[in-house]
Amino acid sequence: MKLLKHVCGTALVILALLWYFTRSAGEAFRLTLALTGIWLLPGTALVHVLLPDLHELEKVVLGLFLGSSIVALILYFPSLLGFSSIRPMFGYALGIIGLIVIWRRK
Amino acid sequence: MMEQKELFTIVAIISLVAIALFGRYALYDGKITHSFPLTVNAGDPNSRTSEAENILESGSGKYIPKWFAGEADLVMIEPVLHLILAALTAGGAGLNVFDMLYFDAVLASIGAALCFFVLFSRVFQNRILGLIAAGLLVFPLEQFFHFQINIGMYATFSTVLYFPMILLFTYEFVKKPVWPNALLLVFALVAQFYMHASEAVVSGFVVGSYLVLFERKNIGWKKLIGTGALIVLLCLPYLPPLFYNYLQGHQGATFAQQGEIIPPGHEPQIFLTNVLHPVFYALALLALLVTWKKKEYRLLNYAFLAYVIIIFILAKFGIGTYYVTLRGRPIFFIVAYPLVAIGLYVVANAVQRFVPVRKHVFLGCIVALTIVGQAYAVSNVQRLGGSLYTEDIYKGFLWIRQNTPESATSLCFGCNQLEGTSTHRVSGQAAFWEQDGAQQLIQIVNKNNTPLRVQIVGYTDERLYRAGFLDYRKRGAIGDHTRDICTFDYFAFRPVSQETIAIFGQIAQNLLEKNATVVYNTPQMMILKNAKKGACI
Repeated sequence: MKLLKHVCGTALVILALLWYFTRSAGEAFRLTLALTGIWLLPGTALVHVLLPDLHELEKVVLGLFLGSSIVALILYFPSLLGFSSIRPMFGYALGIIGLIVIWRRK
Repeated sequence: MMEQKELFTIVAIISLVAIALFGRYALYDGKITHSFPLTVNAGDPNSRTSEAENILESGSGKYIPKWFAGEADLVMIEPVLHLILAALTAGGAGLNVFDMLYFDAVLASIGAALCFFVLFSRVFQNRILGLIAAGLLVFPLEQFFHFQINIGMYATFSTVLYFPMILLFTYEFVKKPVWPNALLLVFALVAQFYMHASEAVVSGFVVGSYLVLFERKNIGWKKLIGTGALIVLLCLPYLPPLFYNYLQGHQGATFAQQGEIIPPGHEPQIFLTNVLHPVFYALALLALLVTWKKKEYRLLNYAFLAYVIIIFILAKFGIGTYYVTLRGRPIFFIVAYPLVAIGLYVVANAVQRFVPVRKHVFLGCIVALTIVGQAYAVSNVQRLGGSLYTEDIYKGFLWIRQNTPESATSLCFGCNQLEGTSTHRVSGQAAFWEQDGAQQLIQIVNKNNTPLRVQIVGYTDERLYRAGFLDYRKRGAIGDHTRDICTFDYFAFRPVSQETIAIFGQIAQNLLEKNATVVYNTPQMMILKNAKKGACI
């Protein structure tokens, strides 16, 4: 639960920063959603599982950036076999799995 | 209640991120989103935008878009991770792909800074040192790094993100040689490889040789070989083209054959002083001296020395100058900056003894000064070029994409490299910059009806591509070839100088006198439709 709070806090910080650096609240919200759903949640879940003794702050920082490439790689390999797998909805699906992992795993 | 130490850390991190974003976007209205690409108007950003848009539309990273020279695996050209990432982020947020290509690269540099913060916090248990390193890295002074993003080398730029991760996961693997830690190292190396291979090959060599030389007994051969095999397995789709393209000396390695001589107009030659700031060299060397006998710093020191050898000695002897050394340069200072941070920390600690201020206050000031220093650097370093791509030009290409049949071909006068790919149509560009180009243009102006030599846009070269499972072929060089301009469906004119305004104006006039019609006209872009009824000029 503590990690989930850090994830939510990070998403809020991203939203606040993007509000300033984008042209509308809608743009900021949508970009925050993409960064949280496709980058932050899957990555943080992965780091949480593989490096459980990291500090929460370190998990979300590492998770955000590791998550971006891991999700892209996971969706890229099936496309080599002919699947149209590089879709944002699959990215969000991995985000939901990440959310469940963060929520349930102590 | 949040601890004071943690609150300070969070405020410092948010300040770093805000400064980095401000630095990158200050010149562009201070905003992430725009109606046209931000980078210079050149082949790299344009073709990458085009390919990433294709990935978003098709959901596949496998094939080159049909408006290139033909269908083949995209993987033959270069690893596609940055294109996929931009497509996913753009699709997920409903924003433009070109904005996300730039934004993802900006986040990569921020990520490199923050991952070094994690490395120092986790491995060396020193958050202040981590924040100093992050402050230095969030907007590095080295001009080469900033040049990369301005010319649309998003992939090269983004590889820096993975180096701190690779170091961190190597430390974790050494500390606890278990498979989960090996997996993280594999992820980071493979991700870097699919972002841009040459940097990852050097990273893999540096970390791999460190593990074999110093940690083989601790980790054991079984795990070392298993980790290496897993990396090779995941990299397999791109390994054959990589070896062929870069080691056989074909198109992809053209510059590598030229040793120390880098063609004019490309990146400058490598000297010690144009890779790292001299003051930073001194601080890095100080750190090297201070930490030389400390086992926990051995990986950092080894990486720094290995990169010195790889970058400078290979460059000196002309081995792999372009791909191994020039492309490895962004990673070099990413390797060096943590040592610079240690050097700065050592100096700050020494000075603090003579200053009547408490240690944590003094070091907090050093962190703040580092952040302010980067803010100052922001105002100077980012001004390397700026946008040459205008909204007018981009909208012209979009007009072609949205208002012409998919089978249409277009010829652009004044386009730069692969710029025509932005139209998403098979495109040509008038080769007027070549030696005989001016003469050809004059012939057209004089209505001699001479076929104009055009360069068909596409990856048509000697590099290897994957035609099927384990079936690798050469496309064969097509390069420039002669094609009558009257065979094109559309003509786009994009004046690039006063002289070209006059010449292009006359060519357009000649075309209009026959059977062409104006279909799009703005101050910086005019598009004519060719009726294709006999001679067009």
